[in-house]
Amino acid sequence: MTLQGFSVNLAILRSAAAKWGELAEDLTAARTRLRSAEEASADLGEKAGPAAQKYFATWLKETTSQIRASSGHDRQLRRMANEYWRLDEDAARDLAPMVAWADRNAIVLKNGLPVDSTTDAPGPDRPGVQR
Amino acid sequence: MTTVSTPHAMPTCPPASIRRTTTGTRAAAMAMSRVAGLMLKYSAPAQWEGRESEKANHLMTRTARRLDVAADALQFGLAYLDEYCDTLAGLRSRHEKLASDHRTRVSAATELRARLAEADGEGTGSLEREIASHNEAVASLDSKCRDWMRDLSEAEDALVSQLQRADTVAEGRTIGDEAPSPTALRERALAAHAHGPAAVHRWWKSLDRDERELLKTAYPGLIGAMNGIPIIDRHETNLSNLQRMNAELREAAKHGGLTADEERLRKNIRGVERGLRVDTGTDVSPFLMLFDPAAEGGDGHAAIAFGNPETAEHVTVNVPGVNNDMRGFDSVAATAAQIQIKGSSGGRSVASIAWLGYDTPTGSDLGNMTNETEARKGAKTLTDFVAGLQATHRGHPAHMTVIGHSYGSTTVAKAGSGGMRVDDIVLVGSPGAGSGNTHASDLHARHQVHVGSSDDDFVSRLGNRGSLGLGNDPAHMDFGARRFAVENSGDFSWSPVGLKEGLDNHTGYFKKDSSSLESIVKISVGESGSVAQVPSRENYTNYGWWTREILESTTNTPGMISKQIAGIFDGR
Repeated sequence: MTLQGFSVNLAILRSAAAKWGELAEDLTAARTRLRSAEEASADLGEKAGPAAQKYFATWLKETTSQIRASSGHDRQLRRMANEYWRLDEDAARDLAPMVAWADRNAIVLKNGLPVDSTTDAPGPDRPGVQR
Repeated sequence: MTTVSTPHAMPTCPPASIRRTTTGTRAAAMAMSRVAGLMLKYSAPAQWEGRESEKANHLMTRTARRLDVAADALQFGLAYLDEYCDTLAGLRSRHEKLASDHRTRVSAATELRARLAEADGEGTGSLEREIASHNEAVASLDSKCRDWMRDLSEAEDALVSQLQRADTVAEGRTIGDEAPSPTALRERALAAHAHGPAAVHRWWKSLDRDERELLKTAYPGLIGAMNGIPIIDRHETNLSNLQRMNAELREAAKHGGLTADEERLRKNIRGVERGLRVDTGTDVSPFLMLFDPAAEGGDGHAAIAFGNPETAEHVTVNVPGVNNDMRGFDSVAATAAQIQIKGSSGGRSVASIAWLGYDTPTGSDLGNMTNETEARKGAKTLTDFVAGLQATHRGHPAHMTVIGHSYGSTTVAKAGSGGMRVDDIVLVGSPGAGSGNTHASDLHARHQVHVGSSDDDFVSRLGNRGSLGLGNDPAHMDFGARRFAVENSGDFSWSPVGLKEGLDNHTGYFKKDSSSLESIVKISVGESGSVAQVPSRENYTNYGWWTREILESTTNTPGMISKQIAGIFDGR
């Protein structure tokens, strides 16, 4: 696997990591509130209680899944920001979807071509023109 | 053989604590909606026309969509949980009445059985009649209990069927597709807002429960502060927002500590929390009518209502002055609570609101206390707030009083000469009634303008063309306000002790058991006729007072004295 050919703006990686980290924190706070709602729902009544518990279980699980994913992206981006300033093509492809949409073209070939333009795009973006 | 009926066992009623289900869900939905909105900013734009696979693989775009689905599902469930809790509140009142009847019938059955046993199982005519009447009451009670259980069961069924529509992620997506657009609702909210609180109130009443919940969770800052929205919706929104912020600050503190701004936010929130816990001697919680801890560059906005201003016969709004921000909001709240507690004695229906909806001069902008900039801005928001109270009040219009202390009195007076229309206005420790207000009638109080001014409160001596004053002294005879008596804590003088006593006079109007507080309470409940009136200040009173105080100063040279007098009374 070659480590030559791609470069990345480390500030963008760190900024993306911070965004995922903040998301994980905010979702953890939301989960705390959701848990307290779930606990209180046990008193809703014999029929409503179990239905509410199932409803809360679904959205607690979904929230937990998003917390794990966000924390994972945060860790991965931080590690990469610490370890690399050059990337292989696979790592570049992994990284691009993790940064903000507006920043994804910051992960570029050393000659300045965006990662995804190597295959089917007609040419590099002109500055200021969004495709 | 005569038999005595015993009522069936009482059904159990879900406890009032189930409301925590909705407050927790609302705070979670609010947080989810906020982070979904945040992620959306980092997402692929909707109008993206490139390769779909690139957009589909973009994690922030996918995450924003999933969070949006979760927020929609939580908002959907919340609307029905809230409806269920409202239904249960009604069922709970009925349950309490039934439980009381049940106890009566059980004890009557025990007594009748004992009397029947003494009569060897055969009652006399009068005992037979008593037993027949009792048995009828038991049958009626059992029937009412069955009706109650049927109503509870129907409410439960309705909630279950709705929650089951949103208890999988796939169903959440469908709900999201069908949900009203939050941005379109927000546009409608802003359009109503442009037409004032009465229009906001009409618009809010036209919304479905799920539309209201969506707005409350997606735009808590907007809805929690919008005048004309019913108090319970504002309270729920603001309280959930407070809980969400608290939870986020706790998480932030765990991960690397708080920034200076976050620390300030935390202190502001604590001030409000202490305000909500002010002891009122009852189990009833106050309403959080306004909550924006980041407003005014971190000074914050807040309002807490003690008692319900939508139903109270007497409503007061308390406006504080300089050096009040959200960190110390509990002291503003304590003053409002005192007025509500004292006003309510004797069974009167009173609501009292602590309102900090403007930027009082504090800290670095303390210099603004010598001009009317903040008072003018505050007057506008106060006018809108009072109009909101009037728009949401139910039944006969409330007797409304607005009380301003110190710089707050200038703000209140400016509001009065603007569009605010209330019954009574109370100005205490006033540095002036604001430029352009030469007479009490300029403040348009339907009943009266009242003034409390301690003779040794140096702030109240600033009015009437002093360079530091803010317009005319409302305690002056030419102003035409009704002046009530206040106690002096001590004599003002140019010494550390004298300055402190002057300050005590300025801050002592709401002191517990003071005659000034008694007068303010009487005015607040429409009994100003029983408040003793004292003479107003006469011409040159303030000028003479400052001259005397400066001349009595042992630390001043004659040159400094003449400069000080000229500095304070540059217009005279």
